[in-house]
Amino acid sequence: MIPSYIVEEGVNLLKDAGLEVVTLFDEPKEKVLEQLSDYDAILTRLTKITLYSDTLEGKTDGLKVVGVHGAGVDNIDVDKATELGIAVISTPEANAEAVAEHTIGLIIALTKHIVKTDKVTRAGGYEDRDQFVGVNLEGKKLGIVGPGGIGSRVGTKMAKAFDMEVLTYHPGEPSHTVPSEMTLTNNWEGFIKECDVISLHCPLIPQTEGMVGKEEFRMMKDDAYLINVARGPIIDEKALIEALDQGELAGAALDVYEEEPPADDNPLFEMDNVVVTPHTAWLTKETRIKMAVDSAQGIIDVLNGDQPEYIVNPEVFEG
Amino acid sequence: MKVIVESPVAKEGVELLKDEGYEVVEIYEDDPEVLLEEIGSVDAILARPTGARVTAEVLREGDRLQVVSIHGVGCENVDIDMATEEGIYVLNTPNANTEAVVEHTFGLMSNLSKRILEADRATRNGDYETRDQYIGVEMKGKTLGVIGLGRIGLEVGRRLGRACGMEVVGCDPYLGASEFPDEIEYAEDLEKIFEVSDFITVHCPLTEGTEGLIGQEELHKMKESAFLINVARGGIVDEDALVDALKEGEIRGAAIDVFKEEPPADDHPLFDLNNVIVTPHTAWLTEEARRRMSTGAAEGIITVLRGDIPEHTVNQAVCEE
Repeated sequence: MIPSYIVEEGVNLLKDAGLEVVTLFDEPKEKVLEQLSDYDAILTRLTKITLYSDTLEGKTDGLKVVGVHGAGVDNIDVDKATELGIAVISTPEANAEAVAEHTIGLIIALTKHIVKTDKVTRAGGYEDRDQFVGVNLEGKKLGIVGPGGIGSRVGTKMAKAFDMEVLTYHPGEPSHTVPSEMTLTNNWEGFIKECDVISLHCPLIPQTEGMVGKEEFRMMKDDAYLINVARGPIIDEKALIEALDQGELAGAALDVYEEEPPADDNPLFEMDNVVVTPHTAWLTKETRIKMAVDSAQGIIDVLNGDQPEYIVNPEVFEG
Repeated sequence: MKVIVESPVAKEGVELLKDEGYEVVEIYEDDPEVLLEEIGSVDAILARPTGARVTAEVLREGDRLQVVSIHGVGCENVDIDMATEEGIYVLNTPNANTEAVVEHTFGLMSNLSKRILEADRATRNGDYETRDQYIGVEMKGKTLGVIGLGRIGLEVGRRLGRACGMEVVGCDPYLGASEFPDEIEYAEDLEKIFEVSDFITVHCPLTEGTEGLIGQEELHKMKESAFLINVARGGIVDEDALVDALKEGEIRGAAIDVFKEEPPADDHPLFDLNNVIVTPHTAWLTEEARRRMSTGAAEGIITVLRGDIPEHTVNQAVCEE
């Protein structure tokens, strides 16, 4: 079952493997969930449905695998799926390049006032240009929260391109190798106080929810920039709005929000030291193909009894 | 000694001049007539390329004038030939803004390819749900064509290639194949650049030879998926042809920091296009660049007025006399 649109490269891969593919793009969420037991596999996008324990328990008799078209699995109760023997696969690498490039675009959009000056120029305000003095990134400190695939890409690119000094925060021992261009720290306070640009690349888990809040904004440099392309609730959005209002940081760029879709009157949308994109950091022609193909391949592997490359709960294959 | 500072500049440079004991007159009028009134008693002018024109008359009337020091790179506001004839140094600060322009170019490219400005406008308008429309493309693995491999072009090519995993091909009439750095593939002419590039960025000066270098025919030769970036000078790209090409989908998008006429008209046709980013000639404008330009231009004045040979002389002929 494919409840929301994916590119044909993925659909074709499933069909070529001899699977019957049912697309339910126009069916409402409730209808989709009612039918779960009838399917061996579901290939889902984060935005369409959530698979928490009440959905999974007793309603997924035939279901063997949930393929997530994306990196985050916060819409799925993975523990419950494991308990029920349902494999969960995601596509953690598919969007890494796109998100890293988006992050860089957002950083420079902020430091060089690109979004603001574009608006001013179009409105006939060319002559006000002297007001929009940017800053160079060269030699500045970039802080990466979460040295995973995306964080590491952003860090190495910015070090290579602009000779930035890159720090990366992780509370414990990271599961990825940290590239040589980045210095690992577990000192949160020092990290927040020191960095000129802070970019979030960690998953949304209980420990990261509200991780950047009032305290952090007070500690940040007044001329610091904050970028969030990870998950909205990692930042306390209300505290961010207040901090931006009071000049506790210079600006912020957000691709994700506490609530999605965000309210039309979200105060962030009125601020001119802010850049907002609609959860599109991952969205490129290349990523859509990689995600569809990777998640389809994962489903095929599970249904063939093979262990897929990007398994979230490898325990289901043990025993 | 008396120095005119013709446009507002970062205070660090002005302080250097004052520390040297010079009288500094700050006149912020874009009018050669104002310069003319003062010029008889002045030893040096610190000018911005976009400020008042340092005309032949100004240079002739400046009996004590030894040096015009440009806060920036382009010297099109100075009558260089007349300056040379009068034995007046024209200096500039060619390295001061390199970093800022390279970073801006990088920013424009990634904002174009990820459609960040379009997406920002949609989100603010409450159109979050239209997000599936904003499908970007990745820079990695694509080909970047660099036109003009001076200080900025070389840095853009080298660094973007290295940082973003792009193939880089460059073209510069003053640089032979053997002088190309390893990271940049040599293109003998622009045809090759237009044919293979997914991103084309312009970093050559505006001269008679480069005016209108990219016009209707050249835009037509580019890939339909190509992006064009111009942070060099406005006259190099034919704006009417660019507007047509963008409207008709001959190229995918463009980012423009410089215009044929500056300031551009309020109803410039580029301003109505969605697949365009426009910035108001601010690629160079950072705190660091302002500081480096201001101190660099001031140091050049001090060097000349002390009777020494300055570093960045535009009219070398003056040194040879």
